[in-house]
Amino acid sequence: MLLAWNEGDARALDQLMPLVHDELHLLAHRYMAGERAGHPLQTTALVNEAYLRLIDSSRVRWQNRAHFFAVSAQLMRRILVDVARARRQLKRGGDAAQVSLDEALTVSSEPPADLIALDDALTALAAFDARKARVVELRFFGGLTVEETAEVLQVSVMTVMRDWGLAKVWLLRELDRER
Amino acid sequence: MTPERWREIEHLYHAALARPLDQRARFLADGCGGDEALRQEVESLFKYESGAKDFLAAPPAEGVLAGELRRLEQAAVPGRLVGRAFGAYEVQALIAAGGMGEVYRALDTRLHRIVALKTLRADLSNDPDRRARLVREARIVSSLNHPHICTLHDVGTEDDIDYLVMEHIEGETIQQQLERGRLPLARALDYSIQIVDALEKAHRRGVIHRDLKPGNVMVTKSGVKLLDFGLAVHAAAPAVDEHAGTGATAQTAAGAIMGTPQYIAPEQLEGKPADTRTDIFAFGALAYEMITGRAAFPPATPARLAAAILENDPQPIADAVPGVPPRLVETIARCLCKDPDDRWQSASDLLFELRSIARSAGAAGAEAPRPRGRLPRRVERTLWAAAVVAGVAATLLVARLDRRALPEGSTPVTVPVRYALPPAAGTTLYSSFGVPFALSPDGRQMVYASVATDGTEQLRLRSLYSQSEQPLPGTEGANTPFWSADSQWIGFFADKSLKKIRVSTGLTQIVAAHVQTKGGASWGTRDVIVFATGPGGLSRVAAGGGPVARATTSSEGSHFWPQFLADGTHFIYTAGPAGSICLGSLDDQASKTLMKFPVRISALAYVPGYVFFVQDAALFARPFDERRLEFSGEALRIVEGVPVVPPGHAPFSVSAAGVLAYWPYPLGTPAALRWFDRNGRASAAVETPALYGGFTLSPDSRRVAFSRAARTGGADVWVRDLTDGAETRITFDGAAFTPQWSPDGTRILFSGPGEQPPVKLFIKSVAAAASGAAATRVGVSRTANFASGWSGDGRVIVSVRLNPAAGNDLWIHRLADAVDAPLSLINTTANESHARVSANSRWIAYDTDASGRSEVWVASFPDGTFRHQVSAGGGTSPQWSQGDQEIVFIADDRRLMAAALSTAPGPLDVGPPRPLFRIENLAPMEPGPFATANAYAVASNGERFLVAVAVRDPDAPPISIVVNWRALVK
Repeated sequence: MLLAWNEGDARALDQLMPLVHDELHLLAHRYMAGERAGHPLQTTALVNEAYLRLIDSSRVRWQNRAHFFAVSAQLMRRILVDVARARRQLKRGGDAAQVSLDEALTVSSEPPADLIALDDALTALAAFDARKARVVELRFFGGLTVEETAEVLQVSVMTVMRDWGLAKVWLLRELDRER
Repeated sequence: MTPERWREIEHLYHAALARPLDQRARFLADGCGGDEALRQEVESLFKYESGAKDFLAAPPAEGVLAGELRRLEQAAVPGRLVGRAFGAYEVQALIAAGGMGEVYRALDTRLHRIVALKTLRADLSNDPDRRARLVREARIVSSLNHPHICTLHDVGTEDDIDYLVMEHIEGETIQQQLERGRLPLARALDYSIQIVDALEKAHRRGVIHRDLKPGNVMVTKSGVKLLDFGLAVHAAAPAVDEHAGTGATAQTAAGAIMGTPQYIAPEQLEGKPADTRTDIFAFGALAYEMITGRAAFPPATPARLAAAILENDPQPIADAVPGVPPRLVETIARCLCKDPDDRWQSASDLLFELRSIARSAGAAGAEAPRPRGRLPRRVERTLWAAAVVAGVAATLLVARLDRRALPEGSTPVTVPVRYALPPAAGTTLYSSFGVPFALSPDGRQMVYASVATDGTEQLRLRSLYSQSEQPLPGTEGANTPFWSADSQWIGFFADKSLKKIRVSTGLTQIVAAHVQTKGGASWGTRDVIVFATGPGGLSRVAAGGGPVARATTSSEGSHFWPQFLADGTHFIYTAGPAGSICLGSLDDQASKTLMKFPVRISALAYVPGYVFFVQDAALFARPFDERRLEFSGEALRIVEGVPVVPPGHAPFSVSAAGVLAYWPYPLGTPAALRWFDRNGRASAAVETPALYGGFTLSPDSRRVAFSRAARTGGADVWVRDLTDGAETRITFDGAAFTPQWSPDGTRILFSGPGEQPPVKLFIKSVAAAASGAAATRVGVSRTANFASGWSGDGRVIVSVRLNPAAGNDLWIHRLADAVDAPLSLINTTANESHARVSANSRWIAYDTDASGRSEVWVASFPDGTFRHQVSAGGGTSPQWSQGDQEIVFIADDRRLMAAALSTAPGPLDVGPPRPLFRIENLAPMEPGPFATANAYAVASNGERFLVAVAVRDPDAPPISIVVNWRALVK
């Protein structure tokens, strides 16, 4: 099931990906312009705007809700990470800027982590456990509940919870090492 | 980490987690069965257990992003409102979905009437300014009370969705009628009058429709109704749309040109403000179509469509439909004048005329009276060719967003789409040897040479369609990857051999041994690989393996960057010394010059129909006719920011499938400069990663002179004070390398740019550099001349000259009388380089590969009668140390070696070299032709060394991919 879903998802991304980065270019540009001008734009607003432009593209045929969410989560991840990278590009020098995660999302009191490092770590995780990486993507970037994630991935809620738990632990360790 | 290993860890982790805390350690120890690594793995994960609770705490369901996603998921699927309550309205059915949003049939639960509910696309209404504008427009339009104008009842926002509520109309649009053929003349005239009547009313109120078209006019039982005044703008205040002043008045903040492609007026295309006469033009097009059944301008590519509207006159109405009253033909023609001033100036005049025509036509086909007055010239012209109003895609002038504004089936946009492709996490592009990436000809994949943080170098394969990428085993140490013509194999150079790997199976084979390249390779459809091996021309070998033969011959220098044409027989390449692009063939050695590089030579790429090259950091494509084997057009500028490093390496790759990849970062190895003491202990000197092209320390070791590349690929010489970090720029023309300090520390000798030869020697005073003093040219040479060093007394300069016939040679230049002379006794038919003279000017150390491998030698200076080999087992880049008592050099295994010298007894005695320490990650001064660039310098008489150490540049940009480069060409 995961395989079939991946294919449809890959097709959707195929069509969207080129558009994604075109939008991101504009997005990052506006973000930087805002920063330089002294009034940084709300990341969320920009991200949503870019996301909205893309998601409305009539090129993609959404198979079902799960399909939509899966692709959205990936898109959102790409958008956020690319903005973070672009932002770091601008800021040279030792104190490379970090797009804190709570800039992007309304999150509780957790300490901000480096979005780019997280993205790298997630990619590394996907190399030997694609499902856990998906879980993190859907839950964190997509904001889905455990139940929704289970529905998208077609696994049990228990599986999602265990995946989520171990993935977070592994990521934390990985991020610690990178530091 | 393998998936299997991970399963074990996972299993243990969850099992141990289930145990009470005090039993966990024991359980783990038992469960691991002696596998200590496994136990440690799981234990280390447990350390993060407590922190994980709050990590990535997913936002609750009400969280911003999650909420947005849910809303959008529904928005993305059209018709989602059907069956739901929407404010005071009950949505019953979806009528239409289009570029602006959706239209539903709904029931107004308060007034109990059926209405049309039009929702605006979410992204168009995100902006509070837009919302305000929408309300303003709605207010204006609702004031238009007219039988032929669709009434606007309400405007508002619900659930973050902006909407308009309009009169619900039963009927069909004129467009739908036209699908059945042209309208009977009487009916067309009848509709026309009603439409213009409505326009007249709107214009009187100062409202311009701006989007009049067959799809926007409905025919109902009670007559015609104009729809979609939603794009209207109050004409009395031309700047009401703040984007109006930007020359693209017709743009909304969303960036799309308003007005449907098909019926845009010429002045709108030119970016001028729309006014009432714009509506008249659109009406003319509409009327033309109603009468003839054909669009005024046939759908075509955006460019052609725009040209047609701006310049062409449509086909005469009479050709399509005989019997149309000439007066009507003229009236419509006058609506379609290119210049708004030539058209009907007001809808009321036009209305009067149309009514008059109708009356006289009703008077039983009497011949039409003559038009009043003399018509302007333009109208006369248009009489002969009534405008076939065709769609000009709004995408003509605007990028992205118009894709969504396009109606179904219209011309697709051809704008280039770009995105970035960073290398795999934990790796960087391994760019020391030339272009480190290549797109497959079918455009589906990209191979690139990567180096990981642990130093592992290998090729990686990246799919351009998905995010998947994988390392290619068996490609360790590979450089210059290139694809076979069928995209099945990747060729590369590693271990001093040419190898290939089949992508689908990972099978690796050696094609030819003992070959290297620093100038590219190409694999053609006849399964022959042509590659650059340096002076003497290109080489060729069968892809299946076999002897290496000559593909081209050169007597003056090197040939680079061969690229096969589609026939697999001919190939283009760069001829170095001639500075031109040439055409060669597998079947004969004759070659033909195609063009000269305008500025400097560069790498090439070929896809059927185009030759790509770089000039001044811009990538160009020049159309090439493969049948006639010659260029068929002028070079077109494609992208900027492609740096070129000598001798012309430029990081880009093109695929026939339409993908272009380029890397806006100069090739080379980013390095940090670090101090090493004689035991190999390192400390920082200049940590910021930079691309160096040689450096030396001043005599007092306090300053370093280096050549450093800029992002554009150009390199200049700088002097940096190592005590305080202050830098002084010495050269400014972007092509200076291998600086060498004079013994008194006041001047710098360096290799700089020239015409003939392309590299010359210059001397510049450090103090005068800042004030803009020019450099002095020294020495006269026919071939490229690289600065190598000064004699200890400052009287003689040593350089290395390229000698295609007999290897690089050492030359001296005496400053006093400007005499040049070769060091004949030292020079061999092999390559001599990295020459440095001792402080006492009596000896010269250098390296030579006469034995087949580079070894360090010392000779008496300047006569060269006494020569002695210093290194054994390979050595390069010698330098003097400890007051001429020692020669240090770099051995093959990157160890820094020292050989002691003594002059007593006898002329010179050289001791065996002893290793001092190993230099991990010594940065090669590649890929430039740096026969005299050193990657290290000796300081304080040999107590410590300044070394260039390869580091990762975190600011290195990702590769840029352009998905449809042809759009850039057209």
